[in-house]
Amino acid sequence: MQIKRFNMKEFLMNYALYLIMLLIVIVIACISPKFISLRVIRDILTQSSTRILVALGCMFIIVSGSADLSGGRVVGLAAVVSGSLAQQATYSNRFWPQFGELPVIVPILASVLVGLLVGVCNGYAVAKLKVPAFLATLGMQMIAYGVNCLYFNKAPNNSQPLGGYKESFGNLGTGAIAGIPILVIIALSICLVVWVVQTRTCLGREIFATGGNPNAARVSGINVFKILMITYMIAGALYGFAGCLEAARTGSATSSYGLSYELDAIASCIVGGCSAGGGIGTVPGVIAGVLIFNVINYGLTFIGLSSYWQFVVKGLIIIIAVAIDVRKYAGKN
Amino acid sequence: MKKKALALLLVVCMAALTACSSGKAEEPAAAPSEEAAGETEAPAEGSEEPAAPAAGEAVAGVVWYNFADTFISNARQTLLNIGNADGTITITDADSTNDVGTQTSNMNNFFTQEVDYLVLNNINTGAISEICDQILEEGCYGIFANTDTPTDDDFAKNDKLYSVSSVATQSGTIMGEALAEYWTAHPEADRNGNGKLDYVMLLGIQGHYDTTVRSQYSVQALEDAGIEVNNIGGEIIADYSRATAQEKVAALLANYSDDIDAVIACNDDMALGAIEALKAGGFFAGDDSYIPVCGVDATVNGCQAIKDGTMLVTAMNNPVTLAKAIYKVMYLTNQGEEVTTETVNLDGVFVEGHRVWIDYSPVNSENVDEATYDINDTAF
Amino acid sequence: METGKYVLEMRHISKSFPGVKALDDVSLTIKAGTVHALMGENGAGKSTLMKCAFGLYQPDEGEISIEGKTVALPNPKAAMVEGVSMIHQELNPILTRNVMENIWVGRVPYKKIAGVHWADDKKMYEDTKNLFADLGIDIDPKESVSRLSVSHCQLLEIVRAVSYGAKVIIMDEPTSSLTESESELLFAIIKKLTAQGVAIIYISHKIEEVLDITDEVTVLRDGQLVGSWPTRELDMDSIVSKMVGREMTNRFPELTHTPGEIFLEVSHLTSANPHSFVDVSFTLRRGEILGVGGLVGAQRTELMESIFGLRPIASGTIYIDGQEVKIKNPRQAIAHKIALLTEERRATGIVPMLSVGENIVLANQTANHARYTGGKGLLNYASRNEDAQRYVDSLSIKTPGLKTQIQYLSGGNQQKALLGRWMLLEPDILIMDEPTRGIDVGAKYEIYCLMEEMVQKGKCVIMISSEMPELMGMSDRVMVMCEGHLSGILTREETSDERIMYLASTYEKGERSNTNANKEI
Repeated sequence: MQIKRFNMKEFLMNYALYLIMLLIVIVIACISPKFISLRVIRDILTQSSTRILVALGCMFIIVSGSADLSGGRVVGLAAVVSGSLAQQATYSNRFWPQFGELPVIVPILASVLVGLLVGVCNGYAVAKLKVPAFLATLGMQMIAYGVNCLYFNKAPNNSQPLGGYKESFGNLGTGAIAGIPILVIIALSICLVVWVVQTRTCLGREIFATGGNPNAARVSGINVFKILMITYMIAGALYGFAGCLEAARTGSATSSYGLSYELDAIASCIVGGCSAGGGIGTVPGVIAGVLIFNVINYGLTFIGLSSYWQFVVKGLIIIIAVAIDVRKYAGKN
Repeated sequence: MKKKALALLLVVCMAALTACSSGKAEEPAAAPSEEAAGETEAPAEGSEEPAAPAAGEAVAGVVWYNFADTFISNARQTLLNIGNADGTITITDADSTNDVGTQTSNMNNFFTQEVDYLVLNNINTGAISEICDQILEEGCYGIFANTDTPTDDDFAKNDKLYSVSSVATQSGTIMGEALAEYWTAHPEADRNGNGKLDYVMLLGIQGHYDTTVRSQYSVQALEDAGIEVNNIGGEIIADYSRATAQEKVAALLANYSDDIDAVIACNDDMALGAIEALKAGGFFAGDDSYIPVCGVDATVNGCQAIKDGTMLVTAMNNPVTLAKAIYKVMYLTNQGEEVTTETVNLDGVFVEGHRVWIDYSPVNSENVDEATYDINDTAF
Repeated sequence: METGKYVLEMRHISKSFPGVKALDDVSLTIKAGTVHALMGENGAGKSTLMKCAFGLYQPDEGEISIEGKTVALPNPKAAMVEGVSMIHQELNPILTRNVMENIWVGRVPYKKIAGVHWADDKKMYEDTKNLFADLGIDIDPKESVSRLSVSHCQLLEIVRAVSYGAKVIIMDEPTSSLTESESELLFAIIKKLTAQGVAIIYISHKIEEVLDITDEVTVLRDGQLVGSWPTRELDMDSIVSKMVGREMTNRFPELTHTPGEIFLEVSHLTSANPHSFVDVSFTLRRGEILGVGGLVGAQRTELMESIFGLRPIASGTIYIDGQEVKIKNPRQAIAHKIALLTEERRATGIVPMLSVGENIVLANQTANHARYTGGKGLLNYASRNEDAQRYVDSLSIKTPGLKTQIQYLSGGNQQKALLGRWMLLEPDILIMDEPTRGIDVGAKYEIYCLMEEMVQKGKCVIMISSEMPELMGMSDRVMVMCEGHLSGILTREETSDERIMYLASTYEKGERSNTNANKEI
């Protein structure tokens, strides 16, 4: 008898996050039954897509025992860079009037490259120059924003919001295949790839070991510098791609894109079970973390709750979710 | 012991620094005339004309609330262009990044640099009088740009105080009036047939002056036109952001798809986000799926949306006119001339005392082709 | 003297953790004025029982009484008020404060001047001085704690316990990081305390110590009580057999290997750190166990970590199998088939939140990933688990499963898992830094057997150890270091306690030439 009760408690603890999410859905559905619909699911998944990419990047960093505050601004920079390269030839206010219409792969690659570049700088500053990750990435955050503003303000654009994307680019963000939004397909594929990298490759396991105990990893022959560099580069590339998709999804881009996305991403990771101390984190957990935020965002607007209350509810849920999650590990030690 | 010594050292250093900076502040009495004389080379050194600095060059420090704001960015660029082209007044500017603390630091920085004009695109509408007092103390010209204007008392105390601003309430009224006109002309616009105009209001930043007046006066205009209104979704704060607005409207549409009659957005970016969400929700597909969306700012993309037939109206606050008016006020006062509607002499600009007002103008499908401005236009 | 009266009684204590029954109906009675040893292998439940007595854990069943009165101990504060104090294995003094402030932390005496409470430094100083005098401790109460040695910090803890009026003081492995003379000082203080009627519960793996200083012994095994006996009725073998539950006649396996030709040669190695080792030369033969002895500060760990590429060297060369090798980082060392089981299990060994299996394959996965990927890039979990399971079985690592996080294993099992990590690499040279510290007798024996097994196969083992019996019982030769210098290398025949101690505390030119002479053997 005793054992059975024990397991129930453990079950509740282990799946607390999912149960909370279920509870929110049920409460919202009770208030407005229309919430349980394909359309709502599709909307939430679409909105979560770009956030998931940023959160996955962040997960790599957190699992490797580091921190990254540059994410949001890299999204913004990549959004503007990709947007500036994705405009129709006929659009009146072209960012690069001298270029013709570029193939859609150009803005995608450019955004990923921009992210990679920031990742390299972050990684070098943290792993080689030994700048505390918090500071190094805060610095990069500012640099990314500054560079973005400079680029965005370049004549003839002069800080005008970008627009007039070619159809193939816009389709990335708004199109669908067999009713499933392309964004969702992209996000799911990347989740799968990241999950495979994380659990089924040496690199993935070495990232865990590095985050869990960098000294032990080093003694065991792991090249900690290389691991940190790769981690930051993967994260940067994911931020960059997220920025590109963000531009495609909204059909525009300005230098203010991506503001504080990194904080949302960190919160999603922690809520999703990543340990701030490194070494712990799973893709399904992070997906759940991102979804829970978007379900709250979407659901509370859906039932017409005022924005002010949304902040209160969101904050409470972060604290409660993490408080319950921490219980999982407490007591055993 | 070591710590105490260190702390002491720090205090001494700070004291020394403070002394230096206050020393600097006392200097101006002698310095400016020297500078003015040196740079202008104009009147002979012996000349005792007190108006000498007036005809010379001047320095203006401009504090904008946020460079990332499209409208501000345009006004800022125009003002810099005019300054470069004319050369009488040297423009330096600073970004408050939408933060009151940064704004205060920027202002103090300019005061320390002893600018002749402080142009303030104020965020902190609660402290206007205090800021006016500080400007009076510093003795420079103060120009409040595109923000709540100082009170009559403040103007009475300091004749070097001006305000240059659009009539913010007009932006709300333009949206409301356009919507009322559409509502009256299209009975089918009442989609759920409840006899009320069910609208979604997209706010920028809570407490932001523009957000407040735009939301308030747009609804006011509808009510003045005798239309019953109903708000859907409460206060939706979308941070003037296209992405956020898009997400919020998508969520509302999933629940109130059959009810929403119109979207009022406090800027074009949010309006465009709403249009994006509406498109995804099946609207704007044919003639029978139109939903009026209103915005403010008349950005390039906003005007494009009007041409595309998605956006109903946007209130144009012409950043070029704002920049020109600011420069004109500085230019005139520098010349020692009076600021009046006639001397300012700009289209859509009128002067009441020390208050310079700029009209908003509605941009819709009929006049969208004329609704352009050129930030490289340096004529003032 | 109130000897004979029960000061602490714990009756029928049971305590469970998720998946583990840590204590099962354990009873323990402690008489005032005695030293009571609590013994058992790692994971036997000693710490859990003591944490129940100190209020850190709440027992699921059973009751605790102090001086005949049943008490509830919801937290350590309550336990201290009732007279139970605990000196932890890892000490956490407030380094930025001085000695007396550490003792009186939270209870600083004060005087009231002008309505304001001021810390009464003078009274605090006097009180501390008196406590020290009672126990014969010679430390300045105003000394900064950061300047104290580990043993002095421990004394500080004891004095703090006494200042609370402790009736029972629990000492968890108090001598594990003390030198011989420091231990002697501790024993003297224990005597004084018992003379004052204080009871000591003494947790230790060092059986000699237990036989020396305790009055009674209680043995636990797998969370159950084996029994309690007066110490005089026991000897080393009987304690060991009670702990492991089987007869154990030998503490060391029989060594049958014979060293072969020279495999590793270290020549005039000098650390890049001027305060570390200088001009160290030695050789290591195939199939040889080289013991490394010395006191704290002898730079033994630094030397081995430098050979392994963890620390930079200024000059000197290393030859493996006659070839000069350059090792700048652990990766290169591993590529040369050198393994290093580090001293600090927690700091540089385990990755606490990863599973036992993950921890075992960690090094081999990085060095030979083709083994687990089959050259296809993706890991094959079956082969990883197979390897890990092989070592869990052969090292008899006690774990609920491969997926259990390693932090939940006992210290000895963590150590064995780490040993498995290195064995998996099939190293030619295995360097072990204090491999049996804090490990119970059974596990120690298994680790010794493993060393013997390795050298039987012609591999080499270097073992840093501060335990004399281990050095003498396991090594073919013992290399002794003193303050960064190699002070001598002793063959098995030459080795003796006195000889090692002598070399550990001195180094001279004469001894150095002796070293070289020995090297030639």
